[in-house]
Amino acid sequence: MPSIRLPKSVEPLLQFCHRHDSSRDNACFDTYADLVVFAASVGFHDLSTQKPPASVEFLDSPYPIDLAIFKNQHLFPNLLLMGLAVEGTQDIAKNEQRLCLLIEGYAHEGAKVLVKRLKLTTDAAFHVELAKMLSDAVEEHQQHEVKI
Amino acid sequence: MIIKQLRICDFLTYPGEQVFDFPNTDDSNLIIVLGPGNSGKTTLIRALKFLLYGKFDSVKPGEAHTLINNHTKAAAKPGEIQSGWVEATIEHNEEELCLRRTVRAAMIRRDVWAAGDIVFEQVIRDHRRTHFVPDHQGVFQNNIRTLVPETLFDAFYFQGEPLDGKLLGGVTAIRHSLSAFLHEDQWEEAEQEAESIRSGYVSEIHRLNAGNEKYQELLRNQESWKHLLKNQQNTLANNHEELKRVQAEYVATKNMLDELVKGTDISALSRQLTVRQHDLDDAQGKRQRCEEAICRLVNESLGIPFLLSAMPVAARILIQLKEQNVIPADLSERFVDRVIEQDCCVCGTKHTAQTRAHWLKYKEKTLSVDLNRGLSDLLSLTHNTGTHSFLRKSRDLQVELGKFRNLRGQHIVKCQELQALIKSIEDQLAKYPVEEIRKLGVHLSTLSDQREKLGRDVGECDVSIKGLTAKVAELNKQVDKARPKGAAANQQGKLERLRDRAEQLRDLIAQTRQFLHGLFHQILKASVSQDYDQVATDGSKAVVDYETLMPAIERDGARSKNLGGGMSQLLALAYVVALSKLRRELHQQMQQLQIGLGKIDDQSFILDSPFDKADPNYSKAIARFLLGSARQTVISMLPQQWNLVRDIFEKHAIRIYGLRLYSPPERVKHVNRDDFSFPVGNTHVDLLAELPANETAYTKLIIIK
Repeated sequence: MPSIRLPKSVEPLLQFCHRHDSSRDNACFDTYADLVVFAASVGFHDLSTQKPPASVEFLDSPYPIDLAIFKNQHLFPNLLLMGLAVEGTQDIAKNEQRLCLLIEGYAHEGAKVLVKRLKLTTDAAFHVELAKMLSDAVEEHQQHEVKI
Repeated sequence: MIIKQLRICDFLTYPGEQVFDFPNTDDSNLIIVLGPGNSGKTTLIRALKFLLYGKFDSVKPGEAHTLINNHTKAAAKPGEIQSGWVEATIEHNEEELCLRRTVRAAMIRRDVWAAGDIVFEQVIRDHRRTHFVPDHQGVFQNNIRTLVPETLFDAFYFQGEPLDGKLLGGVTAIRHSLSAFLHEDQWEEAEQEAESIRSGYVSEIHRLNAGNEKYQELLRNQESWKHLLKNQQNTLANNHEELKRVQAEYVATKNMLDELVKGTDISALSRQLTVRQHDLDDAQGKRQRCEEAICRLVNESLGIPFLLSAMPVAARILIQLKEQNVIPADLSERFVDRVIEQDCCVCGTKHTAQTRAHWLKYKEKTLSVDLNRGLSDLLSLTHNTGTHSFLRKSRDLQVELGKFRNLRGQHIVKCQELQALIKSIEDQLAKYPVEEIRKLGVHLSTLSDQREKLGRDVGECDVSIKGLTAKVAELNKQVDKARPKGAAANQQGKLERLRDRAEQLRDLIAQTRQFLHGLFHQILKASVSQDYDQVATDGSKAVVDYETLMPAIERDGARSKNLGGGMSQLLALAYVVALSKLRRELHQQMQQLQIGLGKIDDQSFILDSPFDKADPNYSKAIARFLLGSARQTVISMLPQQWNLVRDIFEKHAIRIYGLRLYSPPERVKHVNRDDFSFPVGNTHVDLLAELPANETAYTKLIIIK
């Protein structure tokens, strides 16, 4: 089964995972898989349907996450959504290896955005910053729909 | 007892005659003896004890010759008699009295001495010669024992460390001394004697009425009810006393508390602080719950709001797949493989080339089970109208996040306002010793509870005593009625009167004893408190236990268990001074009443190293205390101790002596010369001198100031 590796750019965000050894009180993500999906979603949003460049540097620890984990945690539809939207065909769904590379690329881009936002605030208030990003994204979508 | 002069001759480490003059003026009463270790400082106290009581702790009977100086003995020849003595001139009845105790021994042969004898005598010096009057009748010995009872010697002439050990280490040596000095055993004996006389009369009365059982029964009842009444009266008296003490302590504590909180409503401020801190805890708790809710919502979002733009494209693909019956599909790729492998189709019709081609074409579109499920789930999630759709979920999320972010903001503002308020209250409270006030408050509350309980006990005792008194009165009437008539009645009446007088005597002794105990407690407490409290450096206070009359230290209303750094020495000294004041006062009172006990003068103190184990602050506190506490104080000390208190003592000392140690080179080379060097004035006094090899070491007294 193919797996998704954690790009090195995710490293500063690991402290917001409950799984992490020195997780913070305001950790927002239960698992590393949750963090990867969140970061990939941010990357997807940031690149706005463009394909991400392939990520080149990955962390040795945590280990790559088997795709089955995403499937078991009901995160797979989100990955498929990104894959279908960027390629415009169902082919990507059948090619899990390619899907994994795509998600790694998005996660890398998203992590860069998140780390940038983290630098603008404090570690203790990062969850609030994430909440703001989420609210803004919904707001942005609604405005887009109104225009249409 | 004030010592004017102490002479020591050929005694222990002191060879030849050495004279300590202890001058005493209105300005100064302090004499310092500086000496290195093993130079004879402690010997001074031992010599005094030998003079006063003829005893020397470490010398066995028959070895009195060991008290004679070794140097002196080394020069003796067989058959010669050598002696050593200690002599003191003391103030006695406003005159001087000179007493000497001498130890004499004959040398039998080298290193072998006869047992030796000890003589105590008065010394009278005139212009021409010195007369000795032996104390055959023990008159002077008795005088000495009155002036300084042997049991109290260790209290007035002592090494710093042992006394506080005796006082505060749980050992009751001083308590026993005090008990003996207060004649507690004799009071008890007198009370028991009176009771025994009373019981004798009671038995007589019973014997007199041996044939009258009813009357005897009445007498027994009368006796036991009177006994109960007396016990209850004793309990009442004890409770009254305790109530008085608690009330006095309550008033003192209340006054202290009032003084501390004067001019401010500190309790209102404290209440306000408590309320605000509670509000702050509450607001922080609410804020924390908001933070947790935001974290939870972020986690549950799975980043979906960022994927909303992907939905139109994905939905289009997924709808196509649905239209092609690819999703949701019950037939998986593996199922199609299995069908093709069979001869028949699922409907039972045999496979033809055409049906197999249809199945293979369908197989191209089928997906794995999990991919099919993933795409099917995605299909339902991209339906904008579905209750679990990504869009619906995103909108709900936006509403929830908005709510908790707003609440969080409000709680943050509230926390900041409360923190500012708390700081302002704390700043106001910081002007007052809040912790001390709190502890005093707790102590006051405890005392109040005690007072209340004792008040109840006193009330119950009162009621009980009333009942018992009525019962005894009733029994008295019955006894009167049943009393035998005629000649036996006269005898009976006489015995009853005698019994009543014995009873009154017994009660009077008990009351007097209790009164005196209270008085002693009052005197000791006043003196110890006055002396200790003024010089204690940490705000602690001295108290004297009513029952045991032993001193203790209280800090913030609680008894200190671990005393250290010099507190115990200071307390011990304050207690010893209090004890000497109590003795003097008691003797004066007794003299006025013309009931024995000779007059005693002010007490002198000779203290050896009273700064042992005391930290610098307490050493200075003890030094200041010693300066003003007695009419005569002699203090011996080592160089380290002298350096600590020199700035206090040097200018006040009327005389400073040095004990110079003369020692052979084989011993000198092993010592640290600094231990023998004492700074005095602008110079250093060296108290070590070297003797020729193999000479016997000895100590010589020198006057430094």
